[in-house]
Parts: sequence; structure tokens; C-alpha cells
Amino acid sequence: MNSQKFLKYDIVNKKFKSLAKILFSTIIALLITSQNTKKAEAQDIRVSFLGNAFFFSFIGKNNLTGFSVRNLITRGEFGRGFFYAKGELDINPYNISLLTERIEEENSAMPEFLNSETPQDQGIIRIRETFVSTRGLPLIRLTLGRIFAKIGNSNSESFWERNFTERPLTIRRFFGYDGFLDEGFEFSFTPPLPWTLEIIGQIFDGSEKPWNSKGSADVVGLISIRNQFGDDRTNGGFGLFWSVGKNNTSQRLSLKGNSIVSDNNSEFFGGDAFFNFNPFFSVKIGYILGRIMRPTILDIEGGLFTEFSVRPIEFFRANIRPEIFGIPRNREEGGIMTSQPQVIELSISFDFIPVYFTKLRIQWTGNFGEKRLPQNIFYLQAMFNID
Amino acid sequence: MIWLITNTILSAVIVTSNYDLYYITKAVADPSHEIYYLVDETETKGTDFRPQDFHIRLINRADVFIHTGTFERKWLSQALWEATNPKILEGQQGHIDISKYIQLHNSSNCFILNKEYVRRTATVLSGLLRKLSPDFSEQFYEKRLSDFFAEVDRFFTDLSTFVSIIPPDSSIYSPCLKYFTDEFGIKYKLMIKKSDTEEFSYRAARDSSEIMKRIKSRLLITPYDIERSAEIGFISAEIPMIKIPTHLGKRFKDFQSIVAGITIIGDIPKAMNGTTGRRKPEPPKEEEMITQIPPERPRAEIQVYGYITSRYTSVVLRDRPSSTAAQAGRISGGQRVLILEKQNEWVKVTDGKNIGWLRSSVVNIEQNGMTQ
Repeated sequence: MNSQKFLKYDIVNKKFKSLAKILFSTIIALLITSQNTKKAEAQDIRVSFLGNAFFFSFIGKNNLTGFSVRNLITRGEFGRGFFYAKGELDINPYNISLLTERIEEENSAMPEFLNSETPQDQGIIRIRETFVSTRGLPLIRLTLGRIFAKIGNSNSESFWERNFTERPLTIRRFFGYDGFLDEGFEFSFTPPLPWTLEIIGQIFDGSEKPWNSKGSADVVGLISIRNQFGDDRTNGGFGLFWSVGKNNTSQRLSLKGNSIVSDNNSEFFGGDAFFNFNPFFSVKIGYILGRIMRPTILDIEGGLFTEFSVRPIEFFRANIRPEIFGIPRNREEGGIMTSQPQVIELSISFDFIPVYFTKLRIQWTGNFGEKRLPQNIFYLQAMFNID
Repeated sequence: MIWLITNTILSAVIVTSNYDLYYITKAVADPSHEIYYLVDETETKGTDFRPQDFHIRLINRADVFIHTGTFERKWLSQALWEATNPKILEGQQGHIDISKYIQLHNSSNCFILNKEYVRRTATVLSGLLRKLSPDFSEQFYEKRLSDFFAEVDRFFTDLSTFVSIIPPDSSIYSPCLKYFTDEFGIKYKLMIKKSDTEEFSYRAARDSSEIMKRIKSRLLITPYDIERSAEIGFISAEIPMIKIPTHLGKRFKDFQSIVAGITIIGDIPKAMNGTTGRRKPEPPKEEEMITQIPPERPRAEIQVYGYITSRYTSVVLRDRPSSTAAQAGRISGGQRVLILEKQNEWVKVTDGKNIGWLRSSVVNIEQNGMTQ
């Protein structure tokens, strides 16, 4: 049983149960208010619905199928003068798995529905990116809430924006299927330059325990620099980040059991770069190196991911993503260093975009190098984005 | 205060949300300002537009941000957050929402088809922008504005010539055309789409054609960027159409290009008693003018048919009159096609199912009915 994940969601649910109610009622209240207030005021509030990703998967090796009405993200945003707030509720209404046997995988690289988890395990409503932020400060922005870590674009992209059903393998391995999303504070500085340079500092609560039951704060710090160039037709950019902290998000996700945490710091260092020739071609490359310390084990692992996307006509896009996890992949235990095999994953997807607010996707993902994982997964995914 | 000092010394960066506003701003503002636009609605649908990093950077630099208050609502709040620019937040002097000065038709922003709204927008922008330019006199700004008004007047005079051929029982495709019908007092029988953002299919167009025939509406006025499937639906149902460019942009760079870009498909029924029930009676001189179609109008192609003469079994249709343009379908050799438009050595044709451009060398045009 994948107890670590259950633990994670239990904690999240407890921590945010009351917050979810408040957020939900706030959105409803804002909606009602917007109907009754003046036109200019109603324009400050926006509510949109993203997704309802609908999966069908066929897993080649196990000859199993999965079916899942995945989720509906309700997104509300409010902007007025100095103040900006955004909230996202991820509603998982139904999740049927027709898997006859559970696929065990301890490090969260697998999609949840392949693990036969039930909605009760996950919680029906989960809080996604939810924060309050400033708009009126020149060049700087302060944000407080549940935010994505700025470890490259691939972490914070929603499934609507991605070219593939899941995030890159490296991000799934290190930070979990939902990426690096945690409660924290962000400081962002954008100097006035001909290109976009953003310097970001983030501090996250790295604790497993709810705030009210723990004695001390465990924090994760992150520094990130992002550069972007070009115009709307041809543009590109690159970013670098360094993250360090006790009880890092990855440990929470990758450790089994209850509270086996290290007093040592774990670190992540990485970067990504992209180039777009809109709307016809785009390429992305990223690398993350992790140095994860546990009481008796030190893992040094690195993952490289690359995405190529071609959109010859408006309603069709083809994407390919070769990834290598394990450059290097070393484990030191009891003074002995061992090198573990690399995992290679290849994904090919085709997106059909009949109208601008819907997408249909066919994807094949092949996994090479780790026998426990399914070798072939086929996805059929349908998405919508109404705002 | 800082805003005012900064902008009275340096030239201002003005960002408009679309090309229409860019064109008007450029016409009335002084030349020292840097003026940019975010989206060209003749190339990209406003509703499809989402600001990228490049656009956020422009908004970040802007001293003045001008928008239509329509399609921008989807992303404006977040874009202002990302841009960290206090000068252009709502309520600040640098934030100009044009929808406060004109009455929108169901969130449609085709206001350049309404003379009063264009003049009002220009007047508002001229008034606001002259505060930024102490080096330029009031007279300079007045001159710019009056020159622009003269251009607008010419445009609507030219546009009015087309109104004479529109019968009073016409229908309009979307709220976008309401600006046009309001301007010329055209009483339409049916508005087919409730909103500009609604996507229309071939079948929906055929159904709407049936309704038009039932209510005896003889002509459809559509925007230039009508969905391809819907256009084919109306053509196959033999509904005559007038396609009117509804935005300025790279495709229609000025008001004269809009007049030249009006396309007529099918046989337009004659207007009742030679009039359309104009709201504003024109002087006799202009009445004479509107009985004549300007010679530059591409009317020669109306209701002209031809045959595909290619030696290949089928020919590829192109999205635009260029051999490098995207493919828009195929038509088999020998097929009879309706010729919609002609541009140099290219013709736009349809067989009722497909629509696109072909080299005129592969089309043998029927002489019967051809006027050129």
C-alpha cells in the first residue's frame, strides 16, 4: 500500500479542510456579489473552469485498463488596485480503476489512478495554487499562500498547458505527481530591462505536520532566476534554481512510513531553457540534480528531460519527449556507493484542438529500465478550459 | 505625481490591447510616443489571445494601457499582476477602458463600424494623451484630431455606398455587425449568433439558412472572419452574403482597406425601392452616389462558376492566395466550382464542401455570367 501518499493527502485534507470551506464559500459569495454590484466591480472577479481531464489508459505490460473522470479545477481570481488573489479547487469527483492488480511504486512517479487509489484516499476536494499577492508595488511582487516552486516552467504548468498528460519524469520522481506545490512566501523582483529578468526567492513550510501540532518551523528555501527574450513570434529563455531545506518536499513524497525525517539538508539544483517559434515549433530542455539526505542514505540523482513540439496547422500538434533519469544515480549507504540503473522514458502525444476551449489527446508513454513500471501506457484524454 | 513628472519629461510608452485602438491612438497622439498593440484581430481572434511573456513585458513598460473592456477581461487582472506596473492599474490615470465611453453590444468590440464610437474614442484618447505631451500645443492635437475625423468621415461615406445594395430584410451574423446596422439604420430581421465567441458549425449554418428562408430574409451580413464551416454552410444553402472586415490590422491596414475588403458572395437581391430605410436621410447628392458601386469593388467575380482543369485527380486548396499557405482541403478534377474572389493569379473557390484558394490556371472560368 502506498501509505506515504495517503499520509500526504490526509495531512493536506486536515490542514485545509476549513480553508477549503472558506474558499468555496468565498467564491460563491463573490459570484453572488458580482451579480448585484456595479458593472465595473463585477469585472474585477473572474471564475473559470479548467479541465475535467478524462482518461482512458491501457497498460501494455499488464494488459489492464483504467478509466477515470479525473478532475475539475475551479479557478477564481480577484484583482483590484494593489491587491490580487487567486484560488484553485481541484475537485476529483470520480475515479474508477479497472486494474486487477495494484501497481506498486514507492516514489510517486506513477499516475495516481494507476495505483488504484480511491477518491476517499485522495480527498474529493484538494486545494491547488491559492494565494494573495501585491500588484501595485513597482518592480517587486510579494505573494503568500500555496504556490508552485519556481523550478522551471514544467512544474507549474497545468494539464491544460502541458503537451503531455503528466509532468516530466524527473519532476514526478523528485516532487511527486502534482509537482512542487507547497505553502510559502514568495518575493519576486523584475528590473526594468529590455528582456525579462525575474529574480525570485521562495520560502516554503517543509513540515509534514500541521502548523498547530509541531514545535518548530522546518523551512525550504529556493532561489531562482528566469530570463526570457524575444517577441510573440520568436522567443526563448532560460532559468536556474537552487533549493535547500530540511524536510524537503521530495522527502515527504519519497519516504515511506510516518515521520522518518533527516536533520540534514537536502538540495536540488537545476535549470531549464526553451525556444518557441510560434505557433509552429517549440523545444524545451531541463535538468535537475538532487542531493537527498536521509538518516543512513545519501542519494545523488539527476534527470534530463527534453520536449519537442510541432504544430503545422492550427488544430493539430505533435509532441515528443525523451527523458533520462539517472545522470547520475548514485546511492551511498553505510559508506558504500552504488550506482543504480538509468530510467529512460519516451512519450509521444498528438493533440487535436477542434475549438479553442477543448483539446483531445492521444499519448503513448514507454518506460525502459525499470521492470516494475508498466512498459507501455496509452492515454486518451479530453480537456476543456472555460473562462 | 511621480507619474505625471516622469511622463511630462519623457515620451510615453502606450500599449493598446488591439490594432483598432493602436490605429486610432497613432492617429491622434503626438509622434514622440512609443505605441504598441498586443493583438491583431485580423490575424488572431481576440478571445483566443493570451498574453505571453513578451506582452507582459510591454505592459510592464507601459505608461498608458488602453483596452476595449471586452476580450481582455479574461486575462487582464492576471496580466496586471504579472506586470508589476502601478501606473496602469484600474483607477489610475494610465488605465483607459474604452468600454466606459461606448455602449458595447454583448461584449463585442467591432466599434470601428460605428462612426460615433470611433469619433468618441478618438476624442477621449486625444484628450487624455495631450496631457502627456507638454511639448505639443493644443492646436497640434486639434489638427491631428480633425485630420482623423476627416479620414473617418471619408470611410463612412465610402461605406454608405454599400448600404444601398443591402435589402431591409437582411440578417446579421453576430452582435459584431450591430455596430454597422446601428450606424446606417439598417433594420435586420435576424441575428444568427447571440455572441461573437459562439462557434458555429456547418450544420448550424444550414439550420440558420432554413430559418432565414422561412422568414424571407434574403441577405446575410457577416464579419470577414466568419468560421469556415459556417461560411460553407451558408454558401451551400445559397444564402447571399456580404462579408465586412470588422477590425483593423495587418490584413486591413487602414479604413480604405476595410472598404476594399468588403466581399460579396452570391446574387444580392435588389433593395426595396432603392433604399434601406436609412436612419439619417442623406442629401440628394449622396443619394445619387449610393446608386453606384465604386469601380474598385471586386464585383466581377459574383456568381461566376468554373471547372477544375488540372491533369491531376484532385487539386489542393490553400488557406490564402499563396503556394506556401496551409492546405484547406481538396477538390477533384472536373468539379464545377463557384468562384468567390480573385486576387492576381489566384481565385477563391468553393464546391459547397470545401473552400480555399487555387491558382487561376487550373480553373476554367465559365464565360456565361462573367462580366470581365
